[in-house]
Amino acid sequence: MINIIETCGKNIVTRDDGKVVHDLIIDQWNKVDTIRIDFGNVLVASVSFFDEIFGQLALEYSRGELTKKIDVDNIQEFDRALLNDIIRSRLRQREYKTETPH
Amino acid sequence: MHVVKFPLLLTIRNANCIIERCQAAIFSPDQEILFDLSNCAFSDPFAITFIVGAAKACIARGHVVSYRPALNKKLNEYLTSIGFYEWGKGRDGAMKYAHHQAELRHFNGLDPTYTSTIINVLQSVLTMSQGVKDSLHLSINELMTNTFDHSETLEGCFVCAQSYTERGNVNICITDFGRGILRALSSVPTYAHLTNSIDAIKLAIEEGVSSRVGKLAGLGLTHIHRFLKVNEGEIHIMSGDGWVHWNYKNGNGVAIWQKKLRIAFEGTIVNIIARADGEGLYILESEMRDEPIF
Repeated sequence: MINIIETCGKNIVTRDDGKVVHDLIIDQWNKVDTIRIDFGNVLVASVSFFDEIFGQLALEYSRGELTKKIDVDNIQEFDRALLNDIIRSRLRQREYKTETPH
Repeated sequence: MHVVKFPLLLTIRNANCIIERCQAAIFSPDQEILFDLSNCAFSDPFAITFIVGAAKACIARGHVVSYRPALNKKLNEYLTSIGFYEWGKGRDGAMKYAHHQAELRHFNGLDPTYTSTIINVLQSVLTMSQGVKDSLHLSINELMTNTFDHSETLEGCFVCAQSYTERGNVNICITDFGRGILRALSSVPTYAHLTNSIDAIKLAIEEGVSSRVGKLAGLGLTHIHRFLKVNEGEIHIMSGDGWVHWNYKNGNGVAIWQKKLRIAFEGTIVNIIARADGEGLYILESEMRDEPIF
């Protein structure tokens, strides 16, 4: 389990802040069945923070793989909608890259 | 002494004049620069951030900066209250960056608490829905992060926000004097073909476009646009010699207007005008079109 408040404190805005959480997820990815991320009902409201945590994952893994591996708890509704929007953006980017020959 | 005389209305509509005169001051051979606001009657966030940024740029080049205050009482009181005249005051070049009010601030690094403060200031004079407040919070955070991530300036950025009760809107402007969007994007091989600022500005708002090599980025301006589209707001982006204006007013789609500035400047200006009563929130639109992932 990754507790955002314990892990990040007030550092929940920048990409560098998000990378701390992203690295923890990567570390646990192959070790546990489900990674639970607890946001402690704190309002993040930062595209950078969420994108750094989940953006790279959405480019590497499918929507099904993400939802199977990650549980998001105690997240504010605004942040939940924002998070979903960001992941959709990156999943679209992933699909586009897959379809477009380089 | 180089005297910078400003027009009656210090607004983004007079951007060419304001930028031109400030640039002339920055590169003036005279040591003393006087910013003369005596004829001014109104100022918007664009003008405030650009002029204090120009004052800072003047000082960085060894100039001594002073101000001739606005004779218009209301404007003078406002500029005094936000600490405008403190920028560059003192012939030793000492500057007071910190100020107890939130309407005008300078940042060398991201300050997450500032965003909440500025939203609180705005809502103290203007009724805003929670959705608008959340979206403005997001927009300010993103624009500031962009500045520190992309502009490569050590001078940071200037942020100013004002609410207009009669017009029912909120105007937020973030200005930096960094390398600008064209130089930032064209430093990446993917966008090396870019040769003019207007194309670079228009590309910068597209999803996934960023100068951050090897890292994820490029969602900030995209999300702000989505918010403003639903909010029926406006955004001006100026960078280098480019100026693009997206206007989503009246729900008739977007009207895009673009032009070249008479004189180029080093940096980027992002000026947002959001409707205070615009309940629409772009993330709700996205929620409606698909099942939530989390």
